[in-house]
Amino acid sequence: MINCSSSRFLLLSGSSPPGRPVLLGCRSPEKETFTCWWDPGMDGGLPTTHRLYYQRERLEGTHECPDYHSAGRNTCFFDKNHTSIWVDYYLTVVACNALGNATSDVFKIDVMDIVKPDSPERVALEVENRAESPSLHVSWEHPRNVDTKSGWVTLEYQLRARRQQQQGSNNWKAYKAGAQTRFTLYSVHPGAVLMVQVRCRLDHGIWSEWSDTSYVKIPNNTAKEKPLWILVLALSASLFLAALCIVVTKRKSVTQYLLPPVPGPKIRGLDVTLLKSGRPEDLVSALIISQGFPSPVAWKDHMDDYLMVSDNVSGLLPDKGRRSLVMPPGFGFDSKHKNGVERKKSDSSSLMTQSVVNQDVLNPDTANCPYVDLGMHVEPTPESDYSKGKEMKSTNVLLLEKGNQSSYVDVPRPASLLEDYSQVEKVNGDKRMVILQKGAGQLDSSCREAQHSNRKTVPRNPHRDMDLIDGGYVDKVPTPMLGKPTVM
Amino acid sequence: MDTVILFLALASLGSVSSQPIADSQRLFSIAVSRVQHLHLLAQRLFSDFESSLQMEEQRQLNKIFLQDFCNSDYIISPIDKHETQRSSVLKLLSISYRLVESWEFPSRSLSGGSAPRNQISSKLSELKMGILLLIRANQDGAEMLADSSTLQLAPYGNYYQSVGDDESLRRMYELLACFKKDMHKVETYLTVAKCRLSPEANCTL
Repeated sequence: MINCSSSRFLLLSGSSPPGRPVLLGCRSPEKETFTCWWDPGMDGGLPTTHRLYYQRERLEGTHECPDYHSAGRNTCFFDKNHTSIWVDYYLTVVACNALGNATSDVFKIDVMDIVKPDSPERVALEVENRAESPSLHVSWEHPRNVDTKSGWVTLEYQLRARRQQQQGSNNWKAYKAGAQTRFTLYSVHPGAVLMVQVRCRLDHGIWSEWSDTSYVKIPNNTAKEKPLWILVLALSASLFLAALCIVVTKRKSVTQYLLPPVPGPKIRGLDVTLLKSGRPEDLVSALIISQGFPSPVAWKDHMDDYLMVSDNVSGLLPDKGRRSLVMPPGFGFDSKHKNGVERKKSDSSSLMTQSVVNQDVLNPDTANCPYVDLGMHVEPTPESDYSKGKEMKSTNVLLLEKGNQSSYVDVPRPASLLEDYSQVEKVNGDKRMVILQKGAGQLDSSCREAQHSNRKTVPRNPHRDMDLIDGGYVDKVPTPMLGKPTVM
Repeated sequence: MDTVILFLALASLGSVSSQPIADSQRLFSIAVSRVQHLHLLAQRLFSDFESSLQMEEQRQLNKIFLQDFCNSDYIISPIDKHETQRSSVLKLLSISYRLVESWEFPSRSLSGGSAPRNQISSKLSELKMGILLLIRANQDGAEMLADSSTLQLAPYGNYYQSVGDDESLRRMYELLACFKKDMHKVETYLTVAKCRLSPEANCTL
């Protein structure tokens, strides 16, 4: 035994006591022996020896490692006579050189916890080539140094396999084989190359390393199955084409079935089909509820007969040929003016267009006279079809409303404007609306004269009391109107 | 299910049985599988406890305590393969019985794991019953008298109740480690005993 302290007087440059060794671990491959290894640390430039000492539960004293060589350098091998299980070992390693020694930390182990067997041996692969699906039989042997006969250990195996083409470690499929030394894989791909590995563990301890990879090629038997697949493909393709033809030929009914038409909104009194044509006269007809009105077809013929509308108080009449709103036939604008303004509310919900004509349009002489004349279409239509006027706004709009009985149109006016008539502000030919504006039209005495003169010159319609104005007719109801010209 | 099997085995053993070896083998298989399950359970409990520890606690537990001991240390049992194979089947069975019995009550204080504590305790009780049946099936009058000393009941005492709060972590760690060790022991002894009595070729001495 080297006495480290006697070498104290040796002074060598660059020398130092050894560094502390470190016990790295121990392992028992079969639960009967075990080996420990350590890291020697720095030797301090001098020859250094390492010794392992241990104490054991239920064993008196400190003992030294029985075998330093069997397992290699810096290891200690405990044979069967020195190995006990279910008892604690306390190990230390001492490094010693001429200048001193160093002791590692105490390393405590129980052989029960360090059992890690060797890998299974002689892994054999055998392919069973059946017609429907091939299978792979895997067999192996237990590690050579493990005693399986006495029941001292319980071995458990695990197998894993994957196809060679697939990369990555997570493609392995693991299987538990229990205590058997054979296993059969049924889910193998024909034509693939399989890699198989096996490992084991003792008494549910630490798993061994995986065995060396074994390779096997699964024969390809799909040539026999090709006609079947072709048949299946052809059948499914023909079925698909048939279904496609049916859908295409009957696409309308299919569309009807899948996407039923959504019913549109129903507005009472509105004929939607007429709106679709897009013609102006159809629009009017669509808005008519009652059948009592004459058809707009005849009215269309007299589209020329409408009066011009302008809001020019000064009485300019730029264009005599201008046409104003069209009035549907059979409508009369009957206004009644009394001392004051009467306003008659219509109870019919339908709205009729109306035309209110500025008197300026009709006659330059009466340009300053703010009264409204209506162009009427001459037609032997029932006289009962009078329109009923209803003023939408007090200043602007005057709309006609259909009524069953002769009615009067009352134009509400404020008292200050008692003498004034609404003036047409805007003519909207499409909508057949005449927007009246309460203008600053003054009543002129000349208006009355002009009016009277107009009345005289216009030939009378045998059916109606109408005045011919600019090619049109003005229906005049000989009713007193507050002394104002008739508003019709 | 296993209880029913045990009762049936007991009834069959009570009467004159013409196939003691087959019954014994079946009982051994049941006992071995049960103790393997308990050993796995003990391993899982221990590893769960270890992984739940904080770093500081782990460092404290890694300190070597020479005075660590288990409750079952008074039970003398073989500690290597040679000694185990030298022991008789009955001795192995009786040692297993004592080990299992020593854990019947302390297992209730085991913490952690998905299985409640009373499940471990009931499993231990059932295993104890099974080992008792095996003892009765494999002994004769002479051997029973010779090993009567080994059938003494374990002193229960207040061993696990006198633990202070600051040492509770330490004690739980030791408790789980001891439980794991003892279950491994019983598994090994029963497997060796079963193999010894088995007529199969690959399990004889």
